[in-house]
Amino acid sequence: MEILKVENLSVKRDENFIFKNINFSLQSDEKLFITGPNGAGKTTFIETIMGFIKPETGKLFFKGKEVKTEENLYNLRISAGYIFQNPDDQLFSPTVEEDIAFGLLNIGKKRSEIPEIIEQTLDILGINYLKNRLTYKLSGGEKRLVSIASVLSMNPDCLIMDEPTIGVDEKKLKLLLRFLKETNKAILMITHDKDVIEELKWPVLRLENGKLFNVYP
Amino acid sequence: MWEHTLVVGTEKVETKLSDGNSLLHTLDARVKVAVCTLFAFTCALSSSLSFLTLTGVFLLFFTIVYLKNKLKDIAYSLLFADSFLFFIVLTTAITYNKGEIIKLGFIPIYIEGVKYGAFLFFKSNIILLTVIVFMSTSTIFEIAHALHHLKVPSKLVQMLFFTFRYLEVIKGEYNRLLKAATARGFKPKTDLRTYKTYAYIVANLLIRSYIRADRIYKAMLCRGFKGEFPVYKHFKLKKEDIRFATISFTFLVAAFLWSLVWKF
Repeated sequence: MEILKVENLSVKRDENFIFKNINFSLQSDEKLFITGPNGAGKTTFIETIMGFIKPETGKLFFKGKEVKTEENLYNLRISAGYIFQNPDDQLFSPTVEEDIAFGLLNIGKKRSEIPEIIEQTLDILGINYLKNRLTYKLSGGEKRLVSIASVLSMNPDCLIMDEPTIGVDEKKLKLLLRFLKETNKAILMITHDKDVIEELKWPVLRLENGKLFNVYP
Repeated sequence: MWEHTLVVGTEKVETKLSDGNSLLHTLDARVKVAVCTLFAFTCALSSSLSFLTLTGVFLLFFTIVYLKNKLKDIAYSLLFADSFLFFIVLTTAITYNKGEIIKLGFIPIYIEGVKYGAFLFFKSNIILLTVIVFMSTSTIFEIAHALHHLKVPSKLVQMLFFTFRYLEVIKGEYNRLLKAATARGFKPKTDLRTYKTYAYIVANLLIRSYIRADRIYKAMLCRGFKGEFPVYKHFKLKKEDIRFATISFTFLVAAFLWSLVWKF
């Protein structure tokens, strides 16, 4: 099943196109990397998919349905788990537990179900010991894993990750890679990390000079 | 509203005073905010020295009994605030323009002005002590949470909450910018170049804060935010909270009545 699809997507900044007529799709069992030089528009591409940037041209489809209304956009945002480049942008609640609960309460989960979901999500990532910690006192790697947990707990259809390995130490990277290998969620990951690309061996797309093309396999 | 329990993380420390296990620390933040507001407003509106003295004694009792190992920190906090309040006394002393005058060289000192300034100084210290005793024993997150329950407009509470949450991050950015400047030979002096450099740093911080605020908002939208900030853990009103509120309120009424009898 096709989770995300974009047709002829173009985004302009000032008078120049950042990218032009991009066609892209993400299947429910697919895991992809997007690479490209700095400033090529990788984050802009993701932010356009999430509806934060208005494209010049193009259509966006989520689970086969064109995203047109605010309601469509709301559903897309809560179902396509976007993990930001800087985890500090994502962790705003006082404690890890409360931060994970934030999304769950917003999407209408019952309070009685939430503790179990939090436990399960933290278990998946192997960070249960962080549950009661203050978010702003976590290390870079811990923040990264918690930001993934906060999105993962909402049970999204896919994960869209913007350079998730930045600032993650070896130990936390192992936890992150283990999760990425084991999860059955579709993933679209922006990265520059060659070691991660080699380790995971997912198909690689490259965004350069306004075009998106396959480089591997 | 009362059925939930307040569970704060294992790391509760935010300020030196908010870290502790005394009765004041374990009281429901809503009760503390309500009692603090009541005390602060009554003291601010009162012109009775006897009422203020009694309130001061009541607060000192709490300070000595429950915050005895924080007395040094409390004294520092008060002294810091008093260094500003001193100027009020000074201003009233030389500008009161009424009553007896003592000349200090060519500077006139009004006795009534000194008295009035000292009264304001005393009153301000009582209010400060109220805030220290009741509010500083809670974390900012607990206070924001309590304000939310006390029906303070959501936007104001969110602003307070986010300001505190991101102060640490902004401070980190400021330190990084300053280090970057220092690493390139910047030495602060009292010259235009120094002021200009600090202005650039502050401007940079403002821009970065704006960009960060935008990203945080986007992250919130991605997690289903619709304008209301949901609260996961709630407070539970305990017997001690009710007892504390009753004692505080009764004291306030008694002190007021006593001040009508014992006027000075």
